[in-house]
Amino acid sequence: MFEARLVHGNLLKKVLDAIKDLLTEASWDCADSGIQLQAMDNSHVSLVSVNLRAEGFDKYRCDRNLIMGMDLTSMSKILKCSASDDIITMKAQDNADTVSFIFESPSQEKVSDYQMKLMNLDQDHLGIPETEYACVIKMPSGEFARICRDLSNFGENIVIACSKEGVKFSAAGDIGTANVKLAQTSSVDKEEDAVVIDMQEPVTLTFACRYLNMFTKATPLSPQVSLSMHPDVPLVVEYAIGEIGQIQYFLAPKIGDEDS
Amino acid sequence: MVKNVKKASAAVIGSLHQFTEDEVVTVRQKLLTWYDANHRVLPWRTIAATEPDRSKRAYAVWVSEIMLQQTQVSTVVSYFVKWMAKWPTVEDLARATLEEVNQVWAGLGYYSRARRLHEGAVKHLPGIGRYSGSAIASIALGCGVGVVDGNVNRVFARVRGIGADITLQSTTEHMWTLANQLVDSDRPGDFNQAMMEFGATVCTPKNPSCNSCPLSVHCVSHHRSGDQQERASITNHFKKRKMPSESSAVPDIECLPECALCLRKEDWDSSLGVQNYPRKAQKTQSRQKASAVVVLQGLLANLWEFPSIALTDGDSHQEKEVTEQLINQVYKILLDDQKGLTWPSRYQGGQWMTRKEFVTSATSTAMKKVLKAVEVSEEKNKNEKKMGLVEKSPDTKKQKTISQFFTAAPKKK
Repeated sequence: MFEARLVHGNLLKKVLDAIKDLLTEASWDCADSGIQLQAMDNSHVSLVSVNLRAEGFDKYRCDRNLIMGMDLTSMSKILKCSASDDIITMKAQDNADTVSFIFESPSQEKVSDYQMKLMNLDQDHLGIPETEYACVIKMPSGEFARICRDLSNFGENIVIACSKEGVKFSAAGDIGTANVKLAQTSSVDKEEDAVVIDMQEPVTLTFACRYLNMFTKATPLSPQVSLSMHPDVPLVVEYAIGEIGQIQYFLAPKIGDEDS
Repeated sequence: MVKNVKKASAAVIGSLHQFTEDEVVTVRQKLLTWYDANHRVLPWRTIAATEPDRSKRAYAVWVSEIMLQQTQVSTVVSYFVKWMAKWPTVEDLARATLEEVNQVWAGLGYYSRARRLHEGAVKHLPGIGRYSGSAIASIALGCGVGVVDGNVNRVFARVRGIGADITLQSTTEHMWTLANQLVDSDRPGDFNQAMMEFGATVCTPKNPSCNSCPLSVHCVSHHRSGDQQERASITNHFKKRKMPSESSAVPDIECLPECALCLRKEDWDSSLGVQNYPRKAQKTQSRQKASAVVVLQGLLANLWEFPSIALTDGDSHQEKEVTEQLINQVYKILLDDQKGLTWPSRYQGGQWMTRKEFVTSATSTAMKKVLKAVEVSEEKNKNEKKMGLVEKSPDTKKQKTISQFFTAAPKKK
C-alpha cells in the first residue's frame, strides 16, 4: 500500500509543469524515504531528478518499494483538474497497475478522485558522481528565467562565465550579441533576492538555450535557483520544492569540435 | 544585318537570335570591361597570364578546364593547387600511376575525367573535345576562337532569346557560331573567360542579377520579361523603373513564324521571367537506384568502394538499414548481413583497409559518406536504442549527451 497526502497540492502541480515539457513519461520510485524521479529527455542531453522527502508530506506511507511508470502528459491533465488550494493524495495498491489521485477541497465539501493507468517503463538509472563544483551561483529564479528568455532571442547557445567579478551570461547570433553581467550583491534585505557566488576557480561553459528555457519552467516552485558549474561537466540547475524536496536539472555542455 | 548566313541555311533562324555588327562591338566591349572590373583571381588564370613556358601554360589551363567541367570554381581551387604541386608538368603527370591520380582527384566527382587527364598525359589527348580544345587554344595560346560551355549557353539563350532545346545539334551549332562571332581577337582568352564567368556570377541559373547586368539592354529575355519582373518585386513596385531608352536595341521581339530557335509561346511561363531561357530539356525520369553496401575497386572508374550490389525493387533486407541518399543513388548500408551477399563479378579484387587507409586512399565522396553514416549510426546505437531526434547543432560547439558524463547505475529493487 502506498499513500502520500500533500496539503499544498499546488506544489505537485508545479512539479509537473516543471518536467512535462522535457519528459513525456517517467517512473516515480516510491520508497520509505520518499518519492524520486530520474529521467533523461528524449535527446539525452539533459537529466531531470526530482526528490520528494517522506517527511515533507502530511501523511506518507509506503509499505513496499514501488515503481510507478506514468505518462506525464496524462498525469498533468489529471492534476489540472484540481483547484489550486486542493489537498492532493496519491494512492496505489502494491503491484497495482493503476494509481489514484484524490483531490479534496479545503472545506472537504468537494472530493474527486481520478484513476490513471500505469506504464511499464524500462528506464536506465544513471549514477550521478559526487562533484565538488568549482562555482555555485545562487540567484533569484525569476532573474535567471528572464536572462535565459532574453538571450535565447540572440542565438541557440548561452555562454555562462563565472569569475571573481561575478557571472556573465552571453549569446551571439545573426542579430548581434548580448551580455548580461551579475555581480555579487553586497547588501540584501531578503536572502532570496541575493546573488551569491561561491567560486574556487573560474569556469566558462556553453549550453543550449532550449534546455535552459525548459528548466526555468520550475521558476514558480522557488524564489531562488542555484547553478553549479565545473569544467567539462554538466551544469546543475536546482530549485527547491517548497519544504519537501528539490528538483535538479543536469545539462550536458556544448564542447568545441576539436575532439570529434 | 545577318552575318554568317551559311549556318542559317539548315533551319530558319530569325535575326533576333543573332548579333548585329554594332552589337558585336558593344557587347564584346561591355563584357571585357565588366570582366576587368569583376574577375576572380584564380590560380590557373595567374599561370595562364604569367607563366612564360607555353606548354606549361597549356597544361595548367587543360587541367583547370577538365576540373571545372560540371564542378564549381570554389571546389576546384584547392584540388587544382594540390594537383599542380604534385605534377607541375605534363611529364610529371605521365609518370604518375592511375591510382595516385585517382587519389588526388578523390572527392571531385566524375572520375573518368581524372583517367582521361592521365591518359592524355601518357598518350596524346583523348577526352579533349571542342570545348576543352577551344578553351586551351584561346586562354593558354591566344587563338581567336570562341568557347561554349553551360554558362555561355545560358547567356546566349537569354540575350538572344533562344528557346530551342539546348541539347539539339542545331542549337549547339548556333551557340558556337555566336561565340566565334563575338570573341575578341585581341584578348580571346580573357573574353572567353569573361563570358563564362559572367554566366557563373551574373547570369546565374537562378535569380540572375539583371539589375546590375551590363547586357540587359541587349537582352531579349530581359526585354520580354521586364514587366512581369517589375511587378513581382516590391521595391520596384514603389519606384517603377523605366526600361532605358536604349531598349529599342531590341526593337521587335516577334520573330519569324517558322523560326527553329524561338521559345514556343506555350512554353513561356511569365513567373519565371528571364529564367525561361535556356529552356529546360525534357527531363527523363531519373531512376532511383538502391545498392546494398557491405561496408572495394569497381563502379566508379577504378576507385575503392565497399562491396555493393544493385537492389531490385522487390529486395527487402531485414537488417538494420542506414540509408545515405545521393543524387539518384540510395545506398542501403547493411551493417550486419546474415544472408551473405554473393561477390559481384565486376570487382577486380578486394582488400581490407583500416579506417585511416580508407580515408587517404582513392575513395569517392559517396563511399566516405557511407562510412560516415555507419559511424554516426553506431554512435547512436551506443547511446540508446530508443532515442529520439538528436538536436542538430550547426555551430562549432558540439552538444554532449548526459550519458557521456553519467554512467548507468545498477537498478534499485
